[in-house]
Amino acid sequence: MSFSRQLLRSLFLLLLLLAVGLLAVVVSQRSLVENAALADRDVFVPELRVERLTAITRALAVPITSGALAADVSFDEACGTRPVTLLTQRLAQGLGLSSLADAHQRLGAAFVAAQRLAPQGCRGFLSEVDLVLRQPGLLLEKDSAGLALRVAQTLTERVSWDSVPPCLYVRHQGQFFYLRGPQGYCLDVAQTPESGTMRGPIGLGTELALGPETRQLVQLAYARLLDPQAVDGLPAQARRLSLTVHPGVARVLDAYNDCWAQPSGCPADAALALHRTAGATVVVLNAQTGTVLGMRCYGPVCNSPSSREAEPLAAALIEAPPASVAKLFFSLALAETGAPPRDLLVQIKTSGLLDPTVVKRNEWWERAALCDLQNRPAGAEPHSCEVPARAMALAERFFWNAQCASDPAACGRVGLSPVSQGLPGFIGLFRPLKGATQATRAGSPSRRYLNWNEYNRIRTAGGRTQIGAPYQEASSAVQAVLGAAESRSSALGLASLASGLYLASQGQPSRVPALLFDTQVEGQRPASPSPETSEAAVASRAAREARSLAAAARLVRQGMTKVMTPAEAGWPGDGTAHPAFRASFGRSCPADCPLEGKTGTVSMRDPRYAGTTTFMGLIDLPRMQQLLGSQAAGFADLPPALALGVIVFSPDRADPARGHGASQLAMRLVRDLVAPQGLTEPARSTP
Amino acid sequence: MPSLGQSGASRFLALAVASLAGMVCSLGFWFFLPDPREGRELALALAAQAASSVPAADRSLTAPADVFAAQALCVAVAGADLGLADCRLGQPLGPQGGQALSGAKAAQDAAVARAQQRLGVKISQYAAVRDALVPVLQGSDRSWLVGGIELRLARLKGLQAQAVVAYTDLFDALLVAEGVRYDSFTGRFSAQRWDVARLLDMPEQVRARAERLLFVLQWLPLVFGVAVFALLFISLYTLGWLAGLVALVFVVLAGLGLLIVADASLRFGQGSAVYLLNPFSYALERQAWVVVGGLLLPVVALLLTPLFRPRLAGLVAASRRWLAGLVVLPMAGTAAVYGFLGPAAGSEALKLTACLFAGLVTTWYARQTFLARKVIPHIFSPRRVLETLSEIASGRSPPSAQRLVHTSLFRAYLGLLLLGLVTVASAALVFSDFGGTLVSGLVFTALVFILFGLRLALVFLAAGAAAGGIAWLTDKVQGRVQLMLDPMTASVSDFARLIKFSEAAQPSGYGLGTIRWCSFEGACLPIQVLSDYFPVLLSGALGLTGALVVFLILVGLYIGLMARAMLGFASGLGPVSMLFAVSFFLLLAALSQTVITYFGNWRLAPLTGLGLPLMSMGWSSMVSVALGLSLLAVAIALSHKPEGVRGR
Repeated sequence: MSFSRQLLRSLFLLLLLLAVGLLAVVVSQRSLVENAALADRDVFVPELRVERLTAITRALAVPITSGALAADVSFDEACGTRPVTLLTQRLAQGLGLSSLADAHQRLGAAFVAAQRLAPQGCRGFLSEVDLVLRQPGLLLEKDSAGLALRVAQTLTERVSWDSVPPCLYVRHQGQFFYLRGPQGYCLDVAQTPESGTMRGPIGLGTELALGPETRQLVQLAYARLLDPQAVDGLPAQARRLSLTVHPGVARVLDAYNDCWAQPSGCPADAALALHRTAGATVVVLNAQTGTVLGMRCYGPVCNSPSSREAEPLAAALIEAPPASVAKLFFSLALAETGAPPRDLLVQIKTSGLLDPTVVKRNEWWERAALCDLQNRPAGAEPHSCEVPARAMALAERFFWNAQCASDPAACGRVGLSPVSQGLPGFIGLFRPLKGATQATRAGSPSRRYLNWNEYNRIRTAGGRTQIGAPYQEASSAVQAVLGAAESRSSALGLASLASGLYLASQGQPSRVPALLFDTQVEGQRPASPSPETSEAAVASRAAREARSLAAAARLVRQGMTKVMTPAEAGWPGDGTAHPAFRASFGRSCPADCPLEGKTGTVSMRDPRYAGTTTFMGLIDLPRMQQLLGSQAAGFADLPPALALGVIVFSPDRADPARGHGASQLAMRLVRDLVAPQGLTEPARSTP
Repeated sequence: MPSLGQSGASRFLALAVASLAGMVCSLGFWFFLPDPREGRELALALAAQAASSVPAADRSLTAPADVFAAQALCVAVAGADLGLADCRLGQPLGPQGGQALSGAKAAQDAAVARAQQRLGVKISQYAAVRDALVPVLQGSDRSWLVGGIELRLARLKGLQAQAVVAYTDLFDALLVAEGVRYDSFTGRFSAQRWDVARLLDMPEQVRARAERLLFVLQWLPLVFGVAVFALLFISLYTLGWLAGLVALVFVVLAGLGLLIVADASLRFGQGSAVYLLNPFSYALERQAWVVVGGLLLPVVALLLTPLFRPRLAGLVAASRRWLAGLVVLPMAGTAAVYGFLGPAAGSEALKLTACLFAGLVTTWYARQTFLARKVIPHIFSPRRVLETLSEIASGRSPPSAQRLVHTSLFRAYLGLLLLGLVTVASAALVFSDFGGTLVSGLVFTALVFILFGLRLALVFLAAGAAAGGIAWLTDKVQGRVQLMLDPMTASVSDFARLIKFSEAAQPSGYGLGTIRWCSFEGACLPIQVLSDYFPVLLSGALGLTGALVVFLILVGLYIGLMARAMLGFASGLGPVSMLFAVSFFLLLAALSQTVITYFGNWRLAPLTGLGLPLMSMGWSSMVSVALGLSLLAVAIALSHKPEGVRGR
């Protein structure tokens, strides 16, 4: 064989070997390339790093018992003087340790723990410890699983390339302002379809100076929207959502942030309402659309374990008995069934407290709830009564008891986003029918009720042996009319009820409260579910019902107006919110008061919520500004009708002399919304 | 290979074909270049310049400082030099750490006040840039730039609004405001090149860079066309049609790489708040030089061939005398390059050294080993080598013929081979350059294979595999293996992003000039994408099929050229064969690197950090291919006139 042939043969063999080697690699690793699982994953989670960081955090958080460590020698050797000293000082300062030796030992333990999982250089260790120290929440996490989860959340990255994440805006003074989302896409107005509500340049959002609470809300809302299931199925253009909060309202709410702890720094009447309470929740809605203009939770109640996970939504989630606010459902039912209007109005006004004809508090309401206003004798047979069932059905038109039949875990809750289930809001539970979770399944005709005298006799005598189904039915109805027992609501639910009444009085269906709206289909949010279909006969029945409800709602709203007014001829008591109105505005509200409301106070016998006060109200803003005359210079773009829900949680020992906290806070809020003195209008984008 | 240079008609034909190809390439290049209006640097720089023309309240605060404000604050507050201070806490390291230095309180307060003033100035500068940008950009598809500046501004303003500012917050804010990084480990500060803060402290440079980029974009098609024309014409004229075809493939592939770099230098980071300034805005200009240089290297080499011809034999003879020096010096130089110029340059130096060594050794010893194998079959089998070793150990005399051949050949270059292997091992162990090591190892294996046959090569390969096994146990390789096996849970997200990018681009890719460098969510491809991950980029630009086609073309090109070099080596003698041999190994190195890089990017092998030869950004990707091609071209040109070379 010649030299040339030999060389060519060598080359051929070389290439052949190379090809065979490559083929072997391809065949053996093919499964990696075809790894379909990767296609389904849009998040990157560095598992080993999570494990290592968790171990480091755990080691750093735990004090070392003396003599337990010889291992820190390896840390000193591996890292050298500067990093060791630096980390020791940082840890001592970060954890508030008095001893540098303690910090040094903890670092040694952390280094050993990290090395055990995966060997790592000192530089890497330093940056991991730095990361832990910059997230103090990690060191405070006691639960191991919780810590690992938090670390994983910290290190998780979204790596999807083709998914179009949602854009989050807020609308203010007719312009959309950018809040969250990919800037390159979300600020590009050219990509918005012409049919949508987005017009003109998009503001940058930062000029709105949203407070930390609103920013937290923005963050939470966006985090929930990022859940792929939240936006999957929506066309890219529809993923432009706007937060409904009004920056001006948010700033008003911000002004009360410290009231429960430091009354010196906040408005006097808000301080009176909030100081040394267990906290408060406030929600302001656009009464016409049901959209949330602002919500806030103040004080320790917001940090309860149940609300901690979604703190920015606490005002929409924290529950309390609605107390006398629940009377409004019965008021509607009674108005529909032809109860004397005058009686109903004054009973709403004073919540039955000053009824001159009775000696027992709330007797009129209890009788009304049992269809016993005609005062049946004690020994009379149990009778049927449609009022509780109708009250429950009406409550459900305002989304109370939502989902109770389909999803008990979410009973009473609605979604505040048109696209995501991750933003829940609690509306309320209202169960005047014993054992029934929803009115449509209640079967009310078969229910029999004791008359009030009999019921009251048994109640006061404690005659347990005589308790039967009619008593229990009566008890459920009575507890419900007082907004006690199982009844629950939130500030959101109260405000939503106010909005629902406002709409019902105009013959319109209620709207689910919303925190987000789709910029492309604004105004097309679902109205209250109606059992009727489009068939003509049923439609006409629905129309009749709507007319009937509208008349009832108008009557109830008249009663709510009286709640704000002073005593009148023939009925001595002031409206229950009148003292608060007078204290806040320095005058009484006239008979045609532009404020409507209903107060509630949880019984002092309630083991958990004793003394908690509730308020729901409607504000006719233009008329309110007219009433206040020259003092009024409110936010320009607030809607004309606002719905308000306020709950002030009482501390363990409530002081009755403090007055009605919820209405006090509500009146202060109304004043600041109507005439926000000292609160500057958020600036518009200033190119 | 027939040349076209013999007749006037052929010469005219070569000119016509080269001109046409040059024009087509120029037009194609112009067509696929991204729209220069998509660049953002110029708008930002103009806004920054307009903003800086506004008189500042205190000029001394806006003047470029010798030290970063955060650095000055740290030194003043900690009362210690940077090496002895923890700037995050503003405390000296050591026993005094954690305690306020009461004696220096006044100085500390003054430093804090001054830092706050400088922060205020920075805030007003950002605001001025924002205000200058708003009328230009708001409502356009680049309004995210205003958003990015606004976000930074909001963060800084938030801090400024606080009644009492903690030192740590102020320090962090200054780092953000100045676009500076603090390395706690070393205590050093460094400015981030692409941070938007550079707009404030060097708007002229940003503008000049942006204008240069636009200039390059404007003229590059023409320059590229001329370079293509020159290469094609000289190839056709000197070497013939086949060389012309090879040259055409060469320019198309290099041009494709350049187009992708152009896309990155204009559009990388679009929509990302991190990359308001494009980190690759300099890249096109640099890569244009690299590519044009790479295209012109064979041209220059061919033009200079007549000058070399009379001196070549002398040079080669000298090289033989100084073989040891020729090998030892580059190897020492390689270590220096690793140390001073970084791993990419070091890797390339290692590769070139290995190829030079392999080429020289093959030139001088291939025929001898061939003859030895012809006379004594299987003389280089492991068994025979062991026999020789045992003979040497026993001191038997007289020596056998086999021993004489073995000692003569091995003595000649075994030391050099060992030195080479030590260099390669150092590259792996000291500089952690597994890519360069792998390619060089393959070059050495091929050398052993060509000289001594399959058996000894297998032994060599086995030794290499054993060394690889040891390397496998190291953290770095383990990390890369993990990255390959499970990129979605590895330690860094680079590969995860690349995979998602590649998936999203299928089936036909984003297209040239329209690559989506960042996701809608603002995550961008890793910054090494133009070097280490070029096959993924090809997959993103052209689709998986397109990337595969490029791979096959590259592999086919290198194999074809290697075969030609091998043939030339076999038929040539002396200096020409040395050129063939060196070019063969350079092309083999390029082939190996191509396969390794592609397989790494396809997750068929661990990543090595190597670029894709000919296409990745940087001269290190171009030099071995261009050099290999140039040497091959010169060797072919020289072998057309054997009387001029062989006779000496």
